Amino acid sequence: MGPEPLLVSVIIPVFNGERFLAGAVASVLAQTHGRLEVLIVDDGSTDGSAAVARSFGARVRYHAQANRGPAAARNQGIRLATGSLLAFLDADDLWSETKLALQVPRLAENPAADVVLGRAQYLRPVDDAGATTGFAPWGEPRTALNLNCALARRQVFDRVGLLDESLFQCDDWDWFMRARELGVTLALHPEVVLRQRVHGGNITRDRERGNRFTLAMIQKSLQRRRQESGGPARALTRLAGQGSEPASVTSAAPVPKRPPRQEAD
Amino acid sequence: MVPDTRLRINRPQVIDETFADEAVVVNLANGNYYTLSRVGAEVWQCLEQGFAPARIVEELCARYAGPQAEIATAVAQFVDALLAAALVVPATDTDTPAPPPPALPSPAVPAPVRPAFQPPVMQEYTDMQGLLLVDPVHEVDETGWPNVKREGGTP
Repeated sequence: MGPEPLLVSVIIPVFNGERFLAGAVASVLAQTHGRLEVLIVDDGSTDGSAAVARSFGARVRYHAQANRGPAAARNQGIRLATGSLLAFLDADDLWSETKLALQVPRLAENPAADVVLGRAQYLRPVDDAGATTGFAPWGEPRTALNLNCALARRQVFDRVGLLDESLFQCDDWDWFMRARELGVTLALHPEVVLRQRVHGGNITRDRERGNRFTLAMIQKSLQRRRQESGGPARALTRLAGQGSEPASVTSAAPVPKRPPRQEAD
Repeated sequence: MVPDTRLRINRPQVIDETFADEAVVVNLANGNYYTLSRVGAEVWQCLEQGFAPARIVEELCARYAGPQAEIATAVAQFVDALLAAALVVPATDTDTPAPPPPALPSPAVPAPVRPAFQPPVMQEYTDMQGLLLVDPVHEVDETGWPNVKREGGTP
């Protein structure tokens, strides 16, 4: 008889997500991994999210709190989790059928990795006469710094810290940047593990907002790296599976003439 | 690079934002990101306004103390680096025309108080290749998050 599977704690934050919560939970419960702890952290929902969560009975743990935002809900889930491996899923998304079957062995086979990260397939609403009738794949699967695509060893949150609750969006982007700055080993893999619904209302506006968040996250990361080094921001180490080109910092500027340094003996 | 060649920011492939005294620029085609600090950010803002390199040199000469030839060389090298990184491309006739030069490029500071010219600096980072794709941001508002506003439907 083999060793007992590691307990995976799955944290599902929700705020007024009754429409898709049942599907999200079902996609977690359908995983073939033998030991799961499903934590639904309700961030003050005023719709039927609580009833949906409770409909799953003892298969899930339900925790309600006052509304404080998605990062606070995720953090509460991390505090409540008892598993040695942590995973996340937003209430309107779905895991692939094989997410944990793929990712748990990958972590086991790569003891140096703290986090494994798969790909997301985005889904856009399909409209018929002004009403959404379903969702269809949009674009190619993508690697993204999204906790819903990840499986993490619990201790990495002790090292990196929790999610920044001042960020109402992209809190996991920020967490991944901090993790990389600390040298946390992230291992990428190409399989799709997440089906992520995309709001179809205003793609241009969402893209512009996404661009602004991207730039702000990068600038924050650069600032932290400058503070750490006392000089130019260093490059982040390349991720396993990111590609063969080495990470580099290239400075393009005519270098002003300086007096030669005195070399130490 | 011919000093009078107009250039434009290579949008939408390139996104950028200016923070305090630096510009952060991302090339979404390859995931490389760049920080342009101090004078580099000023050059970037001039390019955004449609100024040709020769015009940018005039601007910097009005703001900083230093030999015009040195400033011109630094600008030319910096612009060549931006072109090589595909952050800027030559403007076409259909692009927005450059604004007419004002009587003074900017309030000319008397020579004794102008700071010394420092060459523009661009630092390139390649450690986010493959990751800097637009990750569609969930709609988040007071009614709920993640929030897909439309009715009905399951995948």
